[in-house]
Amino acid sequence: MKVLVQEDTGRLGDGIASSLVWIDGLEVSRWDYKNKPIMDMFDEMEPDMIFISAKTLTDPALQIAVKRYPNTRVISLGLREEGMAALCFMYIDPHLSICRKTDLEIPTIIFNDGVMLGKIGKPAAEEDLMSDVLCFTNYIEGSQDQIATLQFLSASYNTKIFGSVSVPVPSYLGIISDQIKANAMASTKVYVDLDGGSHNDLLWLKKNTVTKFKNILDLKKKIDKALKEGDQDINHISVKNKTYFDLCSEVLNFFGLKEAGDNIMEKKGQLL
Amino acid sequence: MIGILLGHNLEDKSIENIYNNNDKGYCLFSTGAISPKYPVPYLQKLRVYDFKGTIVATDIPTAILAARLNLPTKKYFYIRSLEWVGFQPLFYEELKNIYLNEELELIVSNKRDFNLIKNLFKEPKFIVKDWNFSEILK
Repeated sequence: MKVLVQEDTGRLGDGIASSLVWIDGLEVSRWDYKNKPIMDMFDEMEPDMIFISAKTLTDPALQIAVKRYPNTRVISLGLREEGMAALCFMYIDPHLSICRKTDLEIPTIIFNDGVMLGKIGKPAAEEDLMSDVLCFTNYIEGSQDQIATLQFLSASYNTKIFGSVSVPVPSYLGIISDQIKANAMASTKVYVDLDGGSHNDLLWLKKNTVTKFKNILDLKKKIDKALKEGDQDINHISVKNKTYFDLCSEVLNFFGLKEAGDNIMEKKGQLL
Repeated sequence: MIGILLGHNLEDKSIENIYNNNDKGYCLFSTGAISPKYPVPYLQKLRVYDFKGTIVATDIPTAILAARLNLPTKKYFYIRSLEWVGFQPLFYEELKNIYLNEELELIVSNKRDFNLIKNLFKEPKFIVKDWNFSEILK
């Protein structure tokens, strides 16, 4: 079975793609929507399933592609704008939507982000990657507020910052592979989440995380408290069934692909 | 004997500090031109391949070169600025190959950098102020 996952769909797209690759017999490809026309991608891949951003649903080329390949199951990622169908005559209804709220018009799986287990695997702590505070910049915008927060962390704690968004902070050490990223997670004490979703990955590894804070003073209080507490089993339990593997299993079961759905849950069991 | 491996662009202030703060047991290696104001022992960078003493790299390109040298008895990287800050795209593997290179010991120029480098990479061996390398030869 061939699956296409649109790039630039944030953690949702990355989480789904990184989970589906674990299923035996599934061919997963990423699609750069900005640089590759929809029709070319469909002709080359002839996908059985496509995960696309809700915003892409209004692209007229998608309707033509879906008509030519009627067996392709379309799953939209993220909330659709209200009244989108009425406003755009070329709009297509997806078979399934994955978003944070129920979409009354189409079947929906509600998902408020989770553990990107496919990219974590079974990491090991490394001496070179040890830190008190860890941050990832992959899904942040790099706003002034975020940079100010990172500067504070860099100056106040043994901090390591990694990710694709470059920030002018001494503790920012650049882009890393998924394996090193997972090991960095296993080597830290506290994670500060600036994107709103990545803390789930660290909770899986029992790490304490800071997700919301009012100001720098509040952030400092929360980090100091978390540093004292150390790793906690409850963190893992809180996200145990909130992984992208669970989401993909649900999607596959929705389309009657029970064997593939069971296969991914089996893989999850191996990583527990 | 200590060999100080400098980049192409030489700052007069650095050369002045090297001249004033070190005894005769040193030599500079560079492709740049040194001001005649400071009569320091100087050789072309290419000659560093024959150097058998203690070599000190002073920036990332010279650190890469120093790590590859076979003859020096000891190799140091004198970190005077946080060169990676603001550089993009930055890859951790590349930084790791320099700052965590087993061939190179690190030297910093102040206490603040000492703590930062210790946390980010490994503990520097020395804090050397104003290019005074007498400590590391002891």
